[in-house]
Amino acid sequence: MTLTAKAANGTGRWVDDRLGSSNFVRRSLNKVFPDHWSFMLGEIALYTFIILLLSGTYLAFFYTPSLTEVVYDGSYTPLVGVADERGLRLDADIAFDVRGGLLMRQIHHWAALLFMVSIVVHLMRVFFTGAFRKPRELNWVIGVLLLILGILEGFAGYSLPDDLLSGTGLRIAWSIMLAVPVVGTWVAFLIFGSEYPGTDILDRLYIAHVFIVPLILLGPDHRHLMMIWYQKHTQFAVPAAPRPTSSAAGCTRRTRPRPVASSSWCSASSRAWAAWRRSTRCGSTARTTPRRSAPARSPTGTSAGWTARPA
Amino acid sequence: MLGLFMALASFGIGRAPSVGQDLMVDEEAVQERHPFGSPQDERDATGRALKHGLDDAGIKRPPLLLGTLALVAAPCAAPRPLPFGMGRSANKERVLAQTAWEAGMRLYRSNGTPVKVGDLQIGAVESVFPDVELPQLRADSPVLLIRMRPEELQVEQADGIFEGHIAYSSICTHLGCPVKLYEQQTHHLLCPCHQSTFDASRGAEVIFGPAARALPQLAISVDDEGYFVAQGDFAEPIGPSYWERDS
Repeated sequence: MTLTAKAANGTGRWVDDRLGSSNFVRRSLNKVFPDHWSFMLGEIALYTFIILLLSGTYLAFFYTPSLTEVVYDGSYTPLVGVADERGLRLDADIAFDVRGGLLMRQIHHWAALLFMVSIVVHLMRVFFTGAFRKPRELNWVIGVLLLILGILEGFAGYSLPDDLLSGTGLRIAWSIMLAVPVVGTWVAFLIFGSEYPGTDILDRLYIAHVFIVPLILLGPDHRHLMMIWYQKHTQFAVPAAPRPTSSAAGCTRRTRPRPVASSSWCSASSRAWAAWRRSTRCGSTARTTPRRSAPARSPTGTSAGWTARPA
Repeated sequence: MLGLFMALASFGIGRAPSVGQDLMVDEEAVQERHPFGSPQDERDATGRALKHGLDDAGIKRPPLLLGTLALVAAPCAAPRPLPFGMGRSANKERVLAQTAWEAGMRLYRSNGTPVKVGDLQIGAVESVFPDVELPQLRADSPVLLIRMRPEELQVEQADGIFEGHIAYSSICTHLGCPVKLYEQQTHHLLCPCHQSTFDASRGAEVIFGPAARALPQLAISVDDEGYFVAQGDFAEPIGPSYWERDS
């Protein structure tokens, strides 16, 4: 026996003596996966979710929700002297003064889009192949729940930068709440703190975005994965499938390294895209940013802010 | 550059396993499925254990259960301060019904200058706001001032308009989006969110889309120095519908 084999043997025995993990490890290693590419769609959703957690944590180090009005005095000259809500000021700081900040924002942004797209395409694949049928109905329901939570998380997220999209999105959310029969105005005032744009809403969306919704997402997400692991993947109908009870056709252990590959490709593509967007954005910020921000507030303070900026 | 190198590194990490995958033997693997249902005797045993637990917990003794429920419900029925700071929204109907506009207040552009008679050409529009600082007050007060030929205006009341100038709240009565897209020839006002369309020459009545009510009109006049001023607040609450409003 070679030295390496001996060492591996010893380590394996040491772990198994304490955890009894041999059986589990063997079963896991022998797990077969379908070879077809469409079974990877859900994984893309998982990896982009992890990217979102990591990049979002980085952004949270530099972001504080606040509606206080401040006058910009940071390092980006075209914005100096422009007064706006503090949320937008923090976006500018993260973009221009935090190392890797704009890159992280872009990664977070594009990974979020990729997350929602992959969930929808994954659900479509499952729907049109009939993979939601017994015994997988529960996992279908959890999947739809994850989609809804993803939408909620996305809404809370894009409300935080305090830009035009945030303002309009929040106004629609406020109006939908307000229009609920009987309890509408109570619900709206309870959640927003006061009349739109509200005094408390940004803090609440922030804690919902960085803590509550991701926490709720993690539960069903875990359940979703455990269930598919236990129930095993579906498979495409193959004419000569010998026994309907085995997951034989089109399955291979060769896909074992694939999750590693696809997870890094997910992160690589969102980074590359973010980097490219960043370079194009930086090149043209002098044109685009002031056009949106400059007419925001006059010295006399008579303009509308993001709540009513002229469309 | 930082992003580019991070991306390159990730692509590299991603490439390694796929090289490994190419080296691995491509063989079809078989793994048996197993039935999910438990054997009947196991189901029975679980049922018995569950029943035993419920019996132990005394759920079947109604007096105890009801007594406990009553004990919990009693304090809930007692009068107490509203939860979660809901007392702060005690005057919410009044807040919803009013905007920052007051009689004699000038109509300011977004750059802070007031609008004068003659500033607008026929067919032109201007977004105007009251002169207030607080975002809370500004939010429901944006107005679109429109000028058309006086004979094109087909409104019954000539009081709140001035020589073809008419002003409407630009908060959509559907979901509150900004209604600022004005079509000169047809006098149509379009909301970009859900395509509600209002006819500015006929009191901004709804001619298409999900909005249920016309845009509220802001009655305007002109002060001694020739600047446009509001005659007062809107006659009805601006924006979307809610339970407590009359109209």
